Amino acid sequence: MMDFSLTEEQNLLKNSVARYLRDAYRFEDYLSAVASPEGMKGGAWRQMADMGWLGLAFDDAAGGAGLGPIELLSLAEEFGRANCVEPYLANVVLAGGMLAGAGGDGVPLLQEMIAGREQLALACYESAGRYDPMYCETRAFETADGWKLSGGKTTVLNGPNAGALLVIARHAGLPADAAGLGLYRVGRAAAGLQRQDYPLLGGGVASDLVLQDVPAQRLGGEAGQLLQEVVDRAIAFTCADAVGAMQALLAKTLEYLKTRKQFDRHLASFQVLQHRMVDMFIEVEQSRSMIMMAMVRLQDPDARQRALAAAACKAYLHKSSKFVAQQAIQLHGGIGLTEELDVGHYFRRLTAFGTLFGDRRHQLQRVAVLQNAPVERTVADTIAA
Amino acid sequence: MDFSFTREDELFRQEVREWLQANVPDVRVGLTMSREDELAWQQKLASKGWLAAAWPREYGGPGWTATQRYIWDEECARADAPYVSVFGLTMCGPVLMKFGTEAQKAEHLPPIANGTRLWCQGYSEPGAGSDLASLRTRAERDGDHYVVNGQKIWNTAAHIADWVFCLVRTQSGERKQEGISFLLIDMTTPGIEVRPIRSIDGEHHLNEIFFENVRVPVENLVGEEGRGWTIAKYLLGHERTSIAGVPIHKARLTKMRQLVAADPALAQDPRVAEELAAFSVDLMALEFTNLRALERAQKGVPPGPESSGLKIKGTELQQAMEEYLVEMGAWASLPWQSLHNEGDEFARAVPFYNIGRASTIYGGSNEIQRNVLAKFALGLGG
Repeated sequence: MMDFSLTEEQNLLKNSVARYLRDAYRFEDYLSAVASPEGMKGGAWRQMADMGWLGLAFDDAAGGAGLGPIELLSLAEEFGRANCVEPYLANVVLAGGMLAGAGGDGVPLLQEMIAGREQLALACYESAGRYDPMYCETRAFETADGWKLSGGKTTVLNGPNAGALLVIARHAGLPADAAGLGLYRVGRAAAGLQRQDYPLLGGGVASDLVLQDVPAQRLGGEAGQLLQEVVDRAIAFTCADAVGAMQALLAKTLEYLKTRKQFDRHLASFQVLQHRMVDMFIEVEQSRSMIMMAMVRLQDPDARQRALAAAACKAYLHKSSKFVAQQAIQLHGGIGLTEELDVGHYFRRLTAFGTLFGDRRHQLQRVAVLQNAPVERTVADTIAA
Repeated sequence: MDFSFTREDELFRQEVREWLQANVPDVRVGLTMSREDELAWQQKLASKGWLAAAWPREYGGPGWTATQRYIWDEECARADAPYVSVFGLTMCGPVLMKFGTEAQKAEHLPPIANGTRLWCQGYSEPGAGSDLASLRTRAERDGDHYVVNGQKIWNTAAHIADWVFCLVRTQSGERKQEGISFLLIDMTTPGIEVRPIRSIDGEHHLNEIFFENVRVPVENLVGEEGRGWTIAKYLLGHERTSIAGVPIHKARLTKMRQLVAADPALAQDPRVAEELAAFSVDLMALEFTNLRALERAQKGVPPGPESSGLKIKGTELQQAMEEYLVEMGAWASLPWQSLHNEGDEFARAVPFYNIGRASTIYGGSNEIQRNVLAKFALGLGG
């Protein structure tokens, strides 16, 4: 039977995340976070670890709660709604996802992260490869002293805060090959590692890395397929986050139109603005539907369906989120363009969202390739399964 | 029908191109310049006689034709020349030429034309944005002075300005458009406070201006008392051939093509080429609509609602191009940095995209421009 509702447990979790962020992550908390070198609100990360949020989607063995994408994306939606900039995506979804997938030697580090004792970052993109996570010129080579890495990485999310960096490097093949990739642990102070840190559009911090014969520990086996899966989960996570931010903008704009008067009338009484609000509302609803689609399809046993879900979701949401963000500013007028109001900060968050892990054009190209692949299933099939 | 420029026009283009190549300062375009940089650039232009490019000879302009002015704008954009502040040269100056007294002209036009006095605009108020006529800043007559009390907002470059031209309420009439007056106020007058507003590009262009018992000599009233709305409307329709921003869009498209050529991933992607081609086609439609307005201006046809259409299409194109530049940059668009930093063109694209959202809001929002067209171009509505 078709059912789009959350279970009682899922609702409880979503509401508790929402409640915590409403109280502990107000606009002034966000401002203090983006003003700090770490891009974090002091103490919030510790509390999130204590509440068990960092382990939601990991197995019991790693100290997690064993929950799935529905819970993870529900949390993401609340992060977006509250404009929370804590490095959950980088630590939990990206680095945590890789460690959980790699297993073995990576598990103790995952446990440290889940407990809030260690911060992590995944270095998987290179400028020359644009949005292709498989593109990797960074080389891994085995020496008498173990593995060493040489190359460069761009936009390593949370890099400045990470005690350990997880670096994707190539031991075989050409730069664009899917095979021949491995996951390596590199210490923050490793010899031969240069980090350039910077704040990110929309909050958070990142680094660009240059590696020259950097000693590293190999974790797990072939990493290519795992990396694609983790990136797709990250895409779905940022999409759910964007939907939260879009809903916040819709609510704030609606409220503003109901209170702001021009020409002796509330702005909300002008038909042209009503229609604009309706278009924003429709885009938010369509986007919410795409998140529900992704929540279900990310659990599909077929890897192609999982990839298609993430790519399609992002392709739609990049467009819809831009529309909602741009119109939120337009309908607020001048005040929407100031740093004093949170609307402009949500706008920046959504601009960054559009770029992260590939924009609409990139995702549409993936959708086209994935749809032309032999196996086809419908949404109904997936839900029935 | 003839779209071509004359041989004289082409020679003129050559002359200004060469001069600009030799004289454009190394200042970041698109920012509110420091007072020193703004004055230095204006005075350099003035020394050549080209600062008041749109002004007639009698007031210190070069006496160019509309076509020459168009070429000038195009060459300035092409050369990445800093934008000259519009408030004195294209707003206050022309108002004084049409409505000012001889004394006002003598006092204010020369310092604008020689680049020694900077202006800002005092129109919007917290409660009067799109509905500008509902403004409440009061000017009450007290002997040979007006006493001004109230608040203005969104005052671009007020922090570097010497004077502000203001719309103030001198009377509460039956219609709110009545009783508004156009007043020139020296920014050093006691009782004026300027407070900065930081905008979402992270920069300081905008301000609030507070007036508390500011005494303004009555001779600073422009036109008749209570008839300021007529002047405000004149100003809105005045700049009909530059509002579309065609030269700036052309320069931006050229820059985008250069960035694409320099990046193999972009240069090899046929979708990128198609996107730039689409911008160039939209730009062509805008340019020829703009040229038609230029032709009417040359023939002395009074301005109509055409500037509203040019503003709508021009700002939409500008925003679409800024948005695409961010997307072209991919990861390079993500670092958040000041516009003042040297560095990656794509990281700078984001602040421009952010503040670029202002253009569909200011100068009469695009919703208001559509109302204007509905009423005056199509005869719709009340």
